[in-house]
Amino acid sequence: MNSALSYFKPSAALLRENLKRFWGVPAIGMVCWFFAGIFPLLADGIVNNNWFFETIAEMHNPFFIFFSIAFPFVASGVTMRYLFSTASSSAMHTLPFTRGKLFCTSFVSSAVMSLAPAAVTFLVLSLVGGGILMLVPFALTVLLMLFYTAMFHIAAMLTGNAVLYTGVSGILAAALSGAVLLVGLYGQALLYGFTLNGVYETYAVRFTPLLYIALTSPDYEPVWLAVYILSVPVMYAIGAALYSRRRIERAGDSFTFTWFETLFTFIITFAGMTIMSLIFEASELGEFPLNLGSIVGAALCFLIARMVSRKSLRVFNRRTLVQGGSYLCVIALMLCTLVFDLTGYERRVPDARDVKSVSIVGSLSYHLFDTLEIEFTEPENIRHVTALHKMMVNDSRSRTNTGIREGDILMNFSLNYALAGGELARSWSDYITMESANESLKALFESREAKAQADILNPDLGTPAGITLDAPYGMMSSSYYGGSVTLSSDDYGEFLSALNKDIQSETWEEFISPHPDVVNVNIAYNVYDQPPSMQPPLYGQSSSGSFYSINKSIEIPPHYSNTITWLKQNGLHARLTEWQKRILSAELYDRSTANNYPWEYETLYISDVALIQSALGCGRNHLTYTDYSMHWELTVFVEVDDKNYGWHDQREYNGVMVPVTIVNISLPPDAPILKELIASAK
Amino acid sequence: MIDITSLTKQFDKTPALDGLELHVKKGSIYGLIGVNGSGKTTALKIVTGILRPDIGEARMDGEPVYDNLSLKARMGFIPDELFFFGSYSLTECASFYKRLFPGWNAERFAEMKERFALPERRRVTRFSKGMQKQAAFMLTMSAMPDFLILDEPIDGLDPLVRKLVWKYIVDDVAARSMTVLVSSHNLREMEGICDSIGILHRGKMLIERDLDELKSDLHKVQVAFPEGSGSGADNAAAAVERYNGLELLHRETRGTVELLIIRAPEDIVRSVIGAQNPLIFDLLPLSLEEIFMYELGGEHSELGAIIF
Amino acid sequence: MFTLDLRSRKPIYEQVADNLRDLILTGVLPPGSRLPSVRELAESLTINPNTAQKAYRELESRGYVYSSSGLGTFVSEASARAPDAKLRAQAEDAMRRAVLDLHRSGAEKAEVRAFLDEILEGGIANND
Repeated sequence: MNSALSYFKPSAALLRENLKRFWGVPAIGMVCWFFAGIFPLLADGIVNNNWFFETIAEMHNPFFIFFSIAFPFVASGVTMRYLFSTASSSAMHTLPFTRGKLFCTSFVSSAVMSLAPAAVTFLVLSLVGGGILMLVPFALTVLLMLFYTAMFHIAAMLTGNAVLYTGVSGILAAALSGAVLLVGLYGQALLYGFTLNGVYETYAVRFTPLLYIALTSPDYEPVWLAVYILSVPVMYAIGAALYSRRRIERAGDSFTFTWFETLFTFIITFAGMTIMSLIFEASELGEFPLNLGSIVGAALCFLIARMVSRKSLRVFNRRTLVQGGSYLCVIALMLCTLVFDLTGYERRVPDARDVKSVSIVGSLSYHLFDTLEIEFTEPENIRHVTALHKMMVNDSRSRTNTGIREGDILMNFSLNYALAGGELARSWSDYITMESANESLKALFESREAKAQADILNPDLGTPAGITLDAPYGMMSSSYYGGSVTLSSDDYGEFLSALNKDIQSETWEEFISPHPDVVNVNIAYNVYDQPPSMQPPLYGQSSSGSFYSINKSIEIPPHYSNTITWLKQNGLHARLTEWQKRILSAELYDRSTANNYPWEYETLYISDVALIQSALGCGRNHLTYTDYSMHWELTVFVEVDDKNYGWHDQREYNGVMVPVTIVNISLPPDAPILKELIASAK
Repeated sequence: MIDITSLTKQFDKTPALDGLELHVKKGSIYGLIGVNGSGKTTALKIVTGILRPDIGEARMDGEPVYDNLSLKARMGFIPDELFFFGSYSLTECASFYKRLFPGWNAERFAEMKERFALPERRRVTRFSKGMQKQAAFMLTMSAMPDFLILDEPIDGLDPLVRKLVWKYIVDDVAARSMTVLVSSHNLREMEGICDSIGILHRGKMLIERDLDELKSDLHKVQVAFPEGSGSGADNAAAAVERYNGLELLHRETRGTVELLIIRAPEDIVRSVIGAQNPLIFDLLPLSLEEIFMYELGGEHSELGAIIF
Repeated sequence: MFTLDLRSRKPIYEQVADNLRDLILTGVLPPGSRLPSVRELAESLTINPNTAQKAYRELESRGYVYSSSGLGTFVSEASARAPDAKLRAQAEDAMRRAVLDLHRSGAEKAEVRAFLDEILEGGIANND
C-alpha cells in the first residue's frame, strides 16, 4: 500500500525546514557535549589522558548518558509540537504530506538533531587520542538515542499537549522497570516466600537500556543489546500505527486515545496508592500495602489524574464515579489475589521428582554448610529440601500465627529450584520447630554433597597461603598471653587433614549441641593459580581481573578430636588456651533486669577463677533460637600483655591498674553453674 | 470537483456532521453557509484531509482526499486560525512552499508581493491578523491550486484588500477553472460571488442549489384582497384554497395585507394570484439572508451570529 | 463600467446583461466591437465567471451579441436583434407604475398624455 511505504520516506523539504528552524536544539546540544566531552580534555591536557578515554569507552561519563535520553526527549517534542495545537496541526495536515511522511520526517529530524552533536564530539575525541576506542561508545550512544527517539515519538502520539508529553515520556521510559519493581514490592509485602531473586535485579535494570548500559558497561550481554536494537523498529512501527489512527481534533487535549487515558489514569492511581502507602508505613501508620495510605493515595491520585486528563477541576460526575469504581474493583481483585494467595503461590511446593537441582542460599547455608550457596542434586537430598520447603509453608511461625519459642530454629534462606519445566525461587526468614526440621537438616548436613562442599582440602579452593590459630571469642592475637599461632607450611598437610577428618565426620547432633569454642582457625587461600569455580561471595575478583585471597574461618569445637589431638601433640594447645590462666575476675548480672531501675538490679563480683574457668566450658547454642535477654551475662576480665596491645581497658586489682580485655559469656537461667557463681559472689 | 457523501463525524459523543451530502462542480464558487456550530469548519477540515470522518468520504476529482499527497499538492486551504513557522519571514515561507508545491508560480508571488505590500523580512507571526491573512492568501494562491478551500476568508480584511482577494480568486476560476469552496456567515459577500449555495443546519445539508435558481424560485409576495384577509380560522382555510397549487413557506398578515413567501416559478405565482384580482400585488426582493431564514423555518434565535 | 446592486432581487447575471444591453442600445458599445472576455469581465466587476458567462449567454439569446469561438464576443448588428420582449415587459411595468404615480401626484390625465408626447418627440430623436 502506498500509504504504508510512505512511513519510510521522509519529506526532504520538511526535513530541511525542521533542521533550519530548530537549529537551536543541536546548537545547545553541541555546547553541552562540548563541555561534557571535550572541555575536560582541554582543561586537563590531552596527553596521558587514557583514563579519560577509558571512562568514555566504558560509558561511565554520566553526562553522556544523560544526553542520550535528554536530547531525544527535547528533539522529539520539538518536531512533534505541531500536533499540540489546532492551528499548527491543521496547517501541517493540509500541506502536501501524508501522515507517514510527517511521522518519518519527524523521527529522522529529531534523530539527526540529537545525534549530530554526539557524532562531532566522538569524532573529535577519536582524533585527539581516543582513536578506535571511541567507536563502541558512539555506537551505543546511537542505539540509545534511536531507542528513546522512537519511545518518545510514541509518547507524542498518545498525548495532545507538551505537559502530558513530558509526563508520558517519563512513564514510558520507566514503565517496564517500574512494573518489575512494583511486582517485587507487592510480592514481598503480601506473598509469603516471595522472592524475585535474580529475576528482580536482572529485569528491573535490563528493561531500561539507559540504566543497563550505564551500570554494566562494558560487561553487557550482547543478547540484550540485540533486544534493544530490535525494539527500535518495533517502537517506530507502534508510533506510526498510532499516528495513522490519531484524531487530529484532539490537539491540545491531554490524551488522543481514550483507552490510553484510562490506562494512564489507572497507572497514576496505582502509583499514588503505592507511594502513599509506603509513606504511611514509614510514618508507622500501618503496614504496606494494607493501610489507610493506600486508600488516601489512590483516591487523591485518581482525582488528580482525572483533572489532568479533563483539564478541568470539575470532575465530580458520574463517569468519574464509574471509572473510579472499576479501578477499585481491579485493584481489590489484584490485592485479594495476593493476600488470599488465590494463585497458590505461597503454598506451592514442587514435587521432588520434578526437581533437577536445588540450591540453598543465605545465612542458613552459611551456618550449616559454611558457604553462602550450596547445590543439591541427589534425589534424597532434594526430597529433604522439599520437605523443609513444605515445613516453611505450613508450619512456620508466621503461617501458624504462633510466637517464637526457645529451641526454634531460624530458617533464613532462599531456595532456587531448577525444575523439569523451568525455575522456581522462594525466600523466607522465619522460625520452625527443631523437632520438625531435625530429620531433614540432619540428612542434609551429613549428606555426601554437603560434606563435599565442606571439604577444606578441595583443590578448587586453591593452595593455603597461611594458617593462623587464635583464641576464640574474638580476642585479638596480641591481646593475651601466648598470642596467635602461625603454622609453618610444612604443617599444613597434617593439620588440614586432621581438621578435615573432623569436619567430614562431624554429626548433626554434635553440631547442634551447645558447645564452647576452643580455638579459632583462619585459613587464607591463595587462588592466583586457579580460577574460582563456586561461591562467588567468598571469591573476589577486581575489575582488572586479579584475584585476592579467600579466608575460611573455623571455630574448633571440643568434639574435633583429631584437630585438638594434633594441637596437643604439637604443643600448641596449651599456648592457645594460656589466656584462661590469665583470668582475673568476672562480673555477673541478670539481663532480664536490665530495664529495671538501677537500685533494682545488682552486679555480682566473682573472683573464684576456677569457677570462672568452668563457666567458660558451658558452651553456647550455635543454632536455635535463644532469648538472650533472659540470660545472665558473665563478663570475664582477662589480663593482657600491655606491650603488644594498643588500646585496652584498665581495672584496679589490689591497688594496681592492670590492662585487661573482656570476654562475654551468656548463661541460660537454668545453667547449674549459675547457682555456684551466685553463691561464690556472696 | 468536490464530492462529499454521507459524511458523519462525532466529537466525543457530540455529533458535528450527520450524513452530509455536498457537491461542488468544477470551476464553481460554492458558498457553505451555516450558523456557528452547524459543522462548517468540520466539513472543511475533512475536505482538506485534516480530520477523518467516522462514516462517509470526501473526494476531489473522484479521488479520496485523506492522506492523498498528490491531491494536497493541488489544494489550498486558508483556515480561520492561521499558522506559520515561528521564526519565518514571508520570503522564507515562500521558499518552503516552493519546494512543496510543484505548481508554485514565482512571478505571481512577486506580483502579489507588490500589490499587497507586505514586509518581506519581518517574521510573519509578528504581522497583524489582517496582514497574516493576506500573507496566507498570497502563499496559497501562488501555489496555483486547483481547489481552493476558505474558512471565513474575509474576516479581518479591509474592503480594498477584500476586493483584491476576490479579484484574484475570480481570475483563477475563470482562467483555470479553479474550484472554490468558501464558508462564511457574511451572506452579503457570498451573495455577490458564489454561484452555488449550500445551507448547513445541524450537520446536515438543508438546501444545495445554484444561487440564481434559488433566488428565482423563491418569491416574497405582498398582497391585499378586496374582501379583507385578517387572521382567523375561516380566512386561513380560504387562504389555503386561494393559494392552492403554490408552496407556501411563510404567511404573515399585517392588517389587511398578507405577506407570503412562495416557492414556485414566477409566472405561476403571477397567474395564480393575479387571477384572484388582488388590490395590491407586489413581488418584493428577497435577500440571501431571508432565503436562509425562511428555509430554516424562521427560527430567529439561531441566526444571531449572522452578519447582515 | 457600471455598478451592481447586490441586494436587488434581480440576479446579478441579469443586471450585467441589462447593463450591457443598455450600453449597446445607447451606442456606447457599437455593433462589431469586441466585448471583454468572460475572464476580464469577471475580474473587473469582481463577479463569478459563471455569472459573467451567463450574462453573455443571455445577451446572445436575446440577439445582442454573438460569440466567435477563440476570438471572443462581439456586439451584433441592430438588424440582427429580435424585438426584446423582456425589455418591453420591463418597460411596460415601469411605465405603468410611473404613469400611475404621476397621476396620483396630482397631474391630470391630459397632462400625463402631454408629457408622454413630449418624451416621445424629444427623447427618441435624441437618444436613439
